[in-house]
Amino acid sequence: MRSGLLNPDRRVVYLLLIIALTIPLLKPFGMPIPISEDTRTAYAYIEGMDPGARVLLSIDYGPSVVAELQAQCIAFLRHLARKGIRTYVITTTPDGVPLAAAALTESFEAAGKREGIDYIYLGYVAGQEAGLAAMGDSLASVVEVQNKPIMEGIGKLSDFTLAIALRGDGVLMWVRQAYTKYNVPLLFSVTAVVAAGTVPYVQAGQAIASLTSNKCAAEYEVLGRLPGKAVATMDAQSSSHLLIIVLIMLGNVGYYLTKRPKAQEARP
Amino acid sequence: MKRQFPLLVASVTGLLMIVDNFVKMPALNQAASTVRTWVVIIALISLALGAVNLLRIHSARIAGRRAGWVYSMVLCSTMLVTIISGLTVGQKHAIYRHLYDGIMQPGSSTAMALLAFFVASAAVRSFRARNVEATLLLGTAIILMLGNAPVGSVIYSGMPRISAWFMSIPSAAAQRGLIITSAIAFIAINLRNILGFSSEWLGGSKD
Repeated sequence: MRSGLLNPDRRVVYLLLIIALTIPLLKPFGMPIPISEDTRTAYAYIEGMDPGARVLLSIDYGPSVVAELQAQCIAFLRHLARKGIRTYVITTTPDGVPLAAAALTESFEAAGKREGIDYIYLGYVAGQEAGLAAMGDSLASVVEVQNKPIMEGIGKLSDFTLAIALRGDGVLMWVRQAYTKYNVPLLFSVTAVVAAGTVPYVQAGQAIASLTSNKCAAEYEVLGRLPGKAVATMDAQSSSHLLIIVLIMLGNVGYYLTKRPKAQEARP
Repeated sequence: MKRQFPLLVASVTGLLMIVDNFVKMPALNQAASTVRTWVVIIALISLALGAVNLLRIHSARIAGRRAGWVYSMVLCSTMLVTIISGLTVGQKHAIYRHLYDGIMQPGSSTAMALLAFFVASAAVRSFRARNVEATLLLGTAIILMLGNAPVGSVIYSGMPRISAWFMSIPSAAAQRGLIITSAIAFIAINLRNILGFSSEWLGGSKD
């Protein structure tokens, strides 16, 4: 039994994890979701923007992190649509293009907003940071600038009131090219893996807030009364985290149960 | 000349980008802006080049019936169908959407989701309170896991605040150190490249 606790069969761990993830998705517990400071800050910033604001939203992720970031993207877009803020969407990853289309369908199009007037999808910006740097000079150098009413007064990166970047990796390129060069306010939504690396930028005032993964997306949906998929996944996240903690504790119990008899044997 | 010319181009371009940041001179700023546009064009071309190279490598594997040639065939056929459907009927068409929503997205998400199982299994086996440092790491991991899920606040209402403290004070301090040192290293490495002291990025043999 001790060795079972110390080195549990991997298949048992996987099976327990599948059960812990599936049951809450089918039968939610309805655990209350506390709202973090970052989410409140981000929400309040967008809520406080005037209708003349122009927001750039960049989908810098692909299908592999859809589960972490797409819900937040849709929550942002729904909020912007509700506020009537003109929104410009770009993607910096080639496989993020269909995600942008899907997000706009669920947000602006669902709210009855008009493309070219209330929102616009500018397209894929190649070159990652180089593309962003080129946007600083001229939008026309990286995307096809369409002759639409929403494009009036928008010629380069500094013309935007706010830039929201949803990224699966580091945010440094936005800090370097958008904030440092042109003082464009930044809002980030990142995966949990890189969340710790964005905190210094928020503390330095280079970003308004950094939202982490599905957790902050759920908080955003609750705070803004923007129904979405993130809330539905929180119970599954809770049960899986709890399961891993319990298994780690049991592993440590097994470790000390096997360690103590060996320590007693070692005594003269 | 085979190595000197690319080194010269890299040096001139790099110096142009640096000087552009600090000097306001219309001609120089315009030149830098043009170079930045060229980089975007080169990035787009490299995408296409990558696709062509992929086809070339896997076609050779299929033709030679080398190990895994069946997977190469699946890759090439899926790639060609996606490219042709995207170019002909467009990205909003049902065919393209089915390929993306039915194959690419679930496949990519699943590969990422598998990590959760591997991490869980690894965590269960490796997180042991063997000594003081390991115990601190274990305790911090548990607090952060509870703080990042609603169950943490159900167990103890102050858990999200404790988790936020770990992220904003000790973790942020370490991250800040990492950012500063990597930025200094980045400057040093790229200065070496721009000034021509380092040519490893060129690859190939030294002649």
